[in-house]
Amino acid sequence: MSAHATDAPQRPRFKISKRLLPYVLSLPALLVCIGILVPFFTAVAYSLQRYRLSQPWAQKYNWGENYLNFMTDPAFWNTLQVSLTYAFLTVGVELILGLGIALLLQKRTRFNNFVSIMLLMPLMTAPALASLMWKLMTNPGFGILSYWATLLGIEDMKWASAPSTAMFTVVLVDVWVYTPFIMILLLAGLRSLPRQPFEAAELDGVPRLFVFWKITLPMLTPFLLTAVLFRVIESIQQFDIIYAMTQGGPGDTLTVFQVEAYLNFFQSTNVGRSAALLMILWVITYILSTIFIKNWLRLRERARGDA
Amino acid sequence: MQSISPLERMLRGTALSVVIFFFMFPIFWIFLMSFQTNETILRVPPSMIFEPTLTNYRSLISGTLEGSTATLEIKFMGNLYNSLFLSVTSVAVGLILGVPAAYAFAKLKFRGSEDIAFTLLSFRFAPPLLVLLPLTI
Repeated sequence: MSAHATDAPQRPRFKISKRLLPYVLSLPALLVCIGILVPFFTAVAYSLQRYRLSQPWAQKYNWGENYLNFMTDPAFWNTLQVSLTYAFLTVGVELILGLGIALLLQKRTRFNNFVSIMLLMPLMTAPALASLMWKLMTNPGFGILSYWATLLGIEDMKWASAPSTAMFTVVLVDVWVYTPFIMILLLAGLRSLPRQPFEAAELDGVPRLFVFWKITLPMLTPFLLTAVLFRVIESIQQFDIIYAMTQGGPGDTLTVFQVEAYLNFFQSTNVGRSAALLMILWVITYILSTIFIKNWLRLRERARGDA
Repeated sequence: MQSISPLERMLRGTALSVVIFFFMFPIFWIFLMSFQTNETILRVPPSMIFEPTLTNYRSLISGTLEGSTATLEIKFMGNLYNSLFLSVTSVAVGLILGVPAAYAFAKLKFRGSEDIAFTLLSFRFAPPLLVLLPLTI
C-alpha cells in the first residue's frame, strides 16, 4: 500500500528528469566555460580603454582609438605580417613533409609501425623545451648545428639571434615538433581509404603519379583539411616556441600576436594595446575555428552516413 | 601492390633515413648531453667521445650542482611537483566536467545539442593569453 503510494507520484518526475538529463549533464562543463567569459569581457573592456599600468590614474575609455591607431601603426602591420608568415611557412612545410612521410610509411609493416611511433617523440616534448633543445644545438659557440654549418662552409651562422635567419630557425623548431602530428593524422587517413579504387587502377595499369593526383589526394582531402585548419589555428597563436627561443627578437622580427601582446602587457605595461591585439587575434581564430568545427561536423555526418 | 624497382627502394630508404635522423637526432644529442659535464658540453668542435657521468641526474634529486666555479641551486623537485599537481588537477577537473557532457552528447538526443557542443569546442581555440591577462591584474 505504502509502496504503491510512493511509486505513483515518482513516475512523471522521472520522465521530466530524463528529458532534462542531457542538460544537467552538460551544464557543469558549460558553466565553467562561461566562467571564461568573465576575463574575456574584461579583456574586451580593456581593449576599448586607454590603460597603462604605469599611469593607472589616466585609465579611461577611449573607445575605438586603440584599434584606429593600428591602421597607422607599422608595429601592428609587422605583427600581422610576421604571424601570417609564420603560420603559412610552418603549416606549409609541415603539410608537405607530413604527407611525404605518411606516404613512405603507408604500408602496414611492423617496421613502418615502429618508425611511425618513434617519430611521435618530438610531439611529446613540450614546445618550450624543444626550443631550449634547439637553442643548445644552434648556439653559435658550442652548438653542433653551428659546427656542421661551418663544415658546410657557412661561417658565423647566428641562427635565432640574427634577423635574417631568426624566422628560419623558429620555423625549423616548429616543423620538428609538429610535423609528426600531421604525419600521424594523414597516415591514419591513408590507411583508412577503401582499397577498391586503387586495385582497379592497378589492374588498368594507371601510372602511379596519376593515381596519386586523381585518387589518393581527393580522397585524402578531408584529412588534409582537418590537419591544416587545426595547425593554422595553433600556429597563428604560437607563443611557447618563439618566446623560449628569442622572446620575439631580434628587434621585432618575430613579434607574433601573442608574443607582441605579452611584451606590450609586461614590458611596456600598455594594457589597452595588448588587449586590442588579442581581440584581433581572437577574431581571426574564431573565424578559423568556426570553419574547422563546421568541417568537422560535416565529416562526422558523412562518416555516419557511410556506416 | 605494384612491384618496386631497386632504384625506388633505395630512394625510399634514403628518404626515410633522413627523416628518422632529423626527428631523432635532437633527442639523441640532448640525451648524450645529459651525461656530460659543462666542460665536455662546451668543447669546440663538439664530440661524442666523453666519460659519462650521472652528476646531472644526481643533482636533480639532491638540489645542488657542484660546478668548478660555483654551486648551482636546482629546484627540479619543486618544479616536478608543480607540473604534476597542475596536470593531475586539470585532468581530474576536465574529466569530472567533461565525461558527463560527453556522455550526454554521444548517447542522448536533445534539442540544441549541436549548438552546445559547438560552443564548448570553440572555447578550445581561444587565444590563451586573452583569458590569462585580465586575471593577472
